Order: sequence, then structure tokens, then C-alpha cells
Amino acid sequence: MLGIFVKDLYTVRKQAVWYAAVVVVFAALSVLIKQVAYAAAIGILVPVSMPLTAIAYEEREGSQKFVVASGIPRAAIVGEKYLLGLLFWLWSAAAYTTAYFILGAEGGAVEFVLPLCLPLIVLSAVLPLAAKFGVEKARAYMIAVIVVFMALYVALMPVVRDAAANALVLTLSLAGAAIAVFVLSFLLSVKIYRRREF
Amino acid sequence: MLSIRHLSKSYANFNLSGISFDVPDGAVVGLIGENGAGKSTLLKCILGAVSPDGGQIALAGKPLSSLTKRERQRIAFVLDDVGLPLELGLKATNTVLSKLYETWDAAKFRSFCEKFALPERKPLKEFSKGMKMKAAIAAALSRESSLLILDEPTSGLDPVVRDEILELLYDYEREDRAILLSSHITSDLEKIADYIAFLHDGRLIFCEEKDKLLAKYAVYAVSEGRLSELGGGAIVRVLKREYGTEVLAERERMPETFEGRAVSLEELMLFYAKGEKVC
Repeated sequence: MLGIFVKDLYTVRKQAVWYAAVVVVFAALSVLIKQVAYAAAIGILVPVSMPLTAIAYEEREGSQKFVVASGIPRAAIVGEKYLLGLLFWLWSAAAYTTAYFILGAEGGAVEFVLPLCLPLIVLSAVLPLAAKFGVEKARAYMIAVIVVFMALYVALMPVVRDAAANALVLTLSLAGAAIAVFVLSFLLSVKIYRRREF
Repeated sequence: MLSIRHLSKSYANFNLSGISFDVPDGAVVGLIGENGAGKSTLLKCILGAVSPDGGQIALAGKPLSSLTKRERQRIAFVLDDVGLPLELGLKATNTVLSKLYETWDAAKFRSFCEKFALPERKPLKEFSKGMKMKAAIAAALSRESSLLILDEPTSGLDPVVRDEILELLYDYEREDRAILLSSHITSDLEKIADYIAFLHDGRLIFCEEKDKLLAKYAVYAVSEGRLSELGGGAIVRVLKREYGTEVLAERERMPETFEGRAVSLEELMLFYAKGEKVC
């Protein structure tokens, strides 16, 4: 897995620097205009975009066949893309968290945790699609998935506020659900990728 | 080294069926066949990029499915589309491949790159086709391997680069190693192959020693009238062209009154692909 991870970091290094900078800019913007939603929104886009960009290069270069033929287990090939997503999730989560606490944003633990969980859930939805249909179609689906999740986020906010009395339970449930979906998504992607031919 | 038995793979409009042959230790097996004959599908089955529907493939007696990662990596390969990450330069490629392969020899890779005069700093996407192929060959030869699989390594390359690549393959230490080489350029295989496996329409027509094969058959130019004299026994295929009829036949079974000429691999392929059988 390390070899593919290093390859992807080399391959997407220019985009990675660009995205890392955008995350910082959005976090700073959130602080300046006192609206943490900007840092939250970019936190969804970046962790999903990086693995998709890496997969797009692989599809264009035919390097998926090269990696498979090199005897690397398919679970490791799939897992590396989840790892890449997690790496950029960590970066954007750190920027969002920093902005959130600088602003001293109002709201409870649920409102803080939800934007951290959404990128994992979107990533969990998009990566199996990329494994099944390839990155071009997955990108199209990604936009739909993000729109659906953003709409759900907005629609559920009043419910979330009402549930403040059970904040701890809800926060833990959200985090637990995000992790569970992430793990299930990985297992599904592995199953799909094992059947794929190059 | 490599043993293939009853291999089959079905697609909606193509079937690879009943493929059985061996790639012996120390031998170069040339795989020939027209476009769509199933060569790439066969190679992909060996490389694990395609799952066969049936049959067995074994490396040194061990089924591919039960090979460890290290054992699997003893199959080196050169893909027709190279497959190396094209955004990277050779230095970064060396680093990546050293993490990918358990028996990678970074010094050997550098040495090959210097030998091929490949630019170290340019990304591979800026290499010419020949340079990309040389980089792929350098990558394949810079780790411990017992089998080298090449899919059209000389396709689209000029004769000078092709010759360099063939020399490299010739130099590949072959005491306990083997090469399976797929190529449309049959003249390359005539230079380097010990055995020829011919695929046609998803089936293996023959896999025989090249020298015996070329000695066994000859091409005879005959008139329609004399063709009927021959009967079906010696004739393998008949190819009727506008300028005359040619017959591929077994030398030993032909009457001495007929004078044949040596057959090339390309002609063998043509006779089997386009020629008619005589009953």
C-alpha cells in the first residue's frame, strides 16, 4: 500500500498543495466573516476530490492494471484511496476545528461534529461509485451526493437543535454512524474492485 | 516455468477457450495472432488483471491464486500501454517502485536508465514512445523475476530501438527464467523466440518449437489443376490469391516433384488465419 500511497502523493502533489491552501483560505475566510459554514463546506469537497483526482490519473495512465499485475492485494489498492481521503479530511477537519474555536461558535457538540462527519459519509458514498463506474461518472454522482447531503444538513438542523437535550447521545451516534458507514463503504469497494477487470 | 491448462474466458462477443501450453524454463515463447485473437486477454489472465472463467495457470507448479505477494512479483511484465505513473520522473518512479516491489534493485534501475540515456528529470509523460517502453523494460528488469511477460513491447517503435530492446531481452539471464512475448512483429520473434504459440479466434492453433515449425512447413505455389493432384494429406492450408494459389504443406509429405520455399512466421499466421482447409 505504501508504494501506491507514495505514487499518489507524487502524482497529485500540485493539486494537493492547491487544495491544502484553499482549505486554509476558507478557514481564514470563515473567521473573517464569522461564518464557520465556509470551512465546513470546503471540508466536504477536498477529502473527496483528492482520491478521485488520484484515481483519474490512474485511469488515464493505465496504472491500475500495472498495480494489480504487481501483485498488490486489491484490498490494499482500495484502502490506499480511503487513506488518501482520510489524510485530507484530517487537514480540513483541523482547519474547520481551528476556525470553529477561534469564532467561539454557538451551538453544541452536535453542530460541531456534524460537518466533521459529512465528508466521511460523502467519501463513503463516492468511492464505491468510483470503483464500480470509474471516476468520470463518480464525479457526476459526487455532485448529486453532496447536494443531497447538504440539503439533508440544512433540513435536519432544526431537528438537531431540538435534540440538544440529548446532545451527547446524538453526537456519539453521528460519529459512530459516520465511522460505520466508512468501514462498510470500504468493504463494499473491495468487493466491487475484486470483480473488476483491467 | 509457466503452465497453462484449459484456460477459458468468455465475453459477450469473444471467447478464449481451451488454452493449454507451457513456457519452459530458459525459453522464450512468442505469442502470435491477429488483433482480437485473445493474446492480451491471455496475458491479462496470467497477470491477474482478468479473472479466467475456467482452467489453471501455475508458476513453477504453484497455482497463481495461491502465490504470495513476493512469489507473484516474480512475474515481471511490460504492458503495451506502459502503465507507469506518467506524472513522475525516473527518480520518483524509482522511489515508488522500491516501495511497491519487495525485491526492487534501485541501483540496477538507475543503471538501466543511464544505459538507455533516459532523462532523469523529465516526467515520463514527456518521453517518446520508445523512451517510455525502455523505462517500462528497465522497471521490469530491476527486480528479481523468474518470468518476464511482454505485451507488444516493440510495437510502433523504429527498427533501431526495436533491435536494442530485443538485445536486452536476449541478454536477460535465462538459465532459470523464461519469457512470454506477445508481438505482431513476427520478424522480431523469428530472431528471439524458441517456441511459437499461435492464437486464432480465441483458440490455440499450435505451440511448437520455432525451428521445428519453420523446418516442418513450406510454401508451394501451385496451379488449380495441380492442387487437385495433391489430395488433402500433406496440405495444411490453401490461400487463393488473385495472382495465384499458394499452399502451406508439410515438406516431408509433399511429392518431390513440387518445389517449396521456406515459410516465415508471418506467412504461417496468414495461412492459418485466412487460408482454407482441404479435406
